[in-house]
Amino acid sequence: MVKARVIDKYAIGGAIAAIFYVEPFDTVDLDIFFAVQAQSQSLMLTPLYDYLAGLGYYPQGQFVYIEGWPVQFLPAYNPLTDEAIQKARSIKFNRTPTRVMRAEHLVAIMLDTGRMKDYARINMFLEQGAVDLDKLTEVLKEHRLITKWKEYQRKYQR
Amino acid sequence: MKKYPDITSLLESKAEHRRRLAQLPFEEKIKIVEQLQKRREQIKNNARRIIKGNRQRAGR
Repeated sequence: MVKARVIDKYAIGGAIAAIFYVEPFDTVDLDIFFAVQAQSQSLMLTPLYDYLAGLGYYPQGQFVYIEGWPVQFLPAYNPLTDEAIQKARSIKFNRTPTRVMRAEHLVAIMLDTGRMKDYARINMFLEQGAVDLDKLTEVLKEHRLITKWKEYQRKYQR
Repeated sequence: MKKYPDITSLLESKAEHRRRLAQLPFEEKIKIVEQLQKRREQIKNNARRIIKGNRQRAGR
């Protein structure tokens, strides 16, 4: 899709990206975040869906089923997700190059989203030493999440 | 007062197992996720069958 210029930069986020760093756990879908142009206000999903339909993958609800996986495409929706896409790691999955969000961005996004399952996953990152706390602190400061972090620590860290 | 066994070492070995899983290659982890998804579907299907059977027995 990048080669076809349907999307510019992208990164795997959400649970599957988390699993890159921590133990595997059950999850329903694969989240792909993509960068949007600064002037764009719309979700820009139509060209993406059209391109995928040309490959035989059609949207069903919020997902596009690709090789058995429900995939959700999400535009960068704030400066944090935008930065997470821009600074994502390049990796290979079965020899296929792809990009996955960095641990510090994933933890910051989970903290910002703030559901119980996000806090549980943050715990996994911390327990398994999967995030560099200095880098995380930089991201949290940059995106004004320090208060939320302190609140999380107060509630959930022993 | 009732005495309970100390399970600290059991909890530590569980945590160690989770750390080992976290070190697996990404491809291996995704295979495990796919197995978990299949297991979830089996559990859901079994639960549906049990609920349906219970309803039929109750004459609903």
